[in-house]
Amino acid sequence: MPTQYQLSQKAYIKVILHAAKHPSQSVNGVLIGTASKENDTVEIHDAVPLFHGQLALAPMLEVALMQVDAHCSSINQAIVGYYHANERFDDYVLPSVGKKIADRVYANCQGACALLVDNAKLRSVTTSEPEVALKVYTKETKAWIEEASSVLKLTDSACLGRLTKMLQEDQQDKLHDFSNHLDDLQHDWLNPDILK
Amino acid sequence: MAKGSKIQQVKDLEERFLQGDTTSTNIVKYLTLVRDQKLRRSLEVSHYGKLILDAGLLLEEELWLVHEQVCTAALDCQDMALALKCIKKLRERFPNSIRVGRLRGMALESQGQFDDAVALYDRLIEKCTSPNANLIKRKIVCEKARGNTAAAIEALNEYLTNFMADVDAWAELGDLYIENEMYKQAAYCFEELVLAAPHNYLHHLKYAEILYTMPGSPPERADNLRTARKYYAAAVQLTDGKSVRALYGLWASCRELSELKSQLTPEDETELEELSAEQLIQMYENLCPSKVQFVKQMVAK
Repeated sequence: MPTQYQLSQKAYIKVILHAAKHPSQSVNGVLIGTASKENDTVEIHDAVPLFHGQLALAPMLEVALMQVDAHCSSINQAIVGYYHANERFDDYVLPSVGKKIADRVYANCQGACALLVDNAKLRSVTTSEPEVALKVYTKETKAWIEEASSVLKLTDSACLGRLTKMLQEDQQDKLHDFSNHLDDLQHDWLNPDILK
Repeated sequence: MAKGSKIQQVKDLEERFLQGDTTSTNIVKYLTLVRDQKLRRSLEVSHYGKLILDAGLLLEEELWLVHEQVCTAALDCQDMALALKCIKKLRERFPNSIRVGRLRGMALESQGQFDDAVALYDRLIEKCTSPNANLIKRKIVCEKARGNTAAAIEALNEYLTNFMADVDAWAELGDLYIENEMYKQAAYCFEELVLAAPHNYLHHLKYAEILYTMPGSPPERADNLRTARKYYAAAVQLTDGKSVRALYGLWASCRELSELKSQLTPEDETELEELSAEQLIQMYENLCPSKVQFVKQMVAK
């Protein structure tokens, strides 16, 4: 029985807003939540957007992960996943740099997943019939394998409509990733008010 | 910093537009600033640019620059109707223009018709008496857009043998190498950029980041970290200690080096790790108190 992932409204919305804010670049981030003891269920409560554009350099990534870890400890949760959106529309592969970061997350959490934004389904996100625009990968022996989308469930399907509205109002401009934070410390990478 | 204030002017104008203050003076000022600063604000440029073109108030010298600018922005937003309208007007005014031809190629690209775009660029290149940098670069972009990174890298290398002063191209090549985890080659590109503009801290930063990321044997790693530390320190100096990235990078390269115990020499002893940590904590206390704890935990020995 493959691991079941429950994705909160907050996490899903942040991932897609991050991708929408930078339409011509790759973006990535990590997922925060709790994994059950046997790793058969993982609850993803939140997403922390990290970088856009250049994702393959180590130093700021390491600084970011250390601080996200500290945040997780303070709320008794862990980094349970990684998300990635590719730069090109027709690119449906989790790239090597994404797999490397996902591997690091997996080293600390064996139930970890990697989510890849599904560009084809992104189109539907601002229509009246939005789909969940994500592909799910899990680690099988040494490789990241795409799972059936049924392993990922939204805890609240009303978030699809909410996301549509937020995108129509250009709310993605209010989301700040770790890179934005490095440029201006007043930008909060936890984005506590994004859903208000 | 002069550049910072120009960006602020752009943001201020965008605020004004949202409040309905869309006078033609403001729009023209906005479009000029965006052109000069080479910003990518395609939604705003296509929307407000269209307004000003429809109003028909622009003089000849600006009119065609704006047509070109709005066309590129419209293509970025997939507003094909607006883009093709601009191209049509430009073609009427400048028949047989290579510059307009480039826009026609970009329109093909934005529809995914890369073969047709490349064929058009090749025809235009033949009409030129000397190598045309913009057309050659468009062909490279087509390779990149199709996911042919290896071909894009090869073509960019060839381009740079003829146009070695093109700093944007060096930066693009460097980024392509980084994405492909070819760190030595990326480092070479950024060395060129540091040489070309030694006062630009951004190149020092990126060069340091590449060196930090580069895998290698412990002695290689130690040397790379020492060099990274130097370039981060230079970036800190160039920014008067205000760049958070430079400070974090300086701290991280000192910390990382100190963990390679077998490679350390007496000369590696430095206060830079503590000084950068202190500076960061100070900045967080002033500007981001909610995260000071995380920084303190990170830098604790």
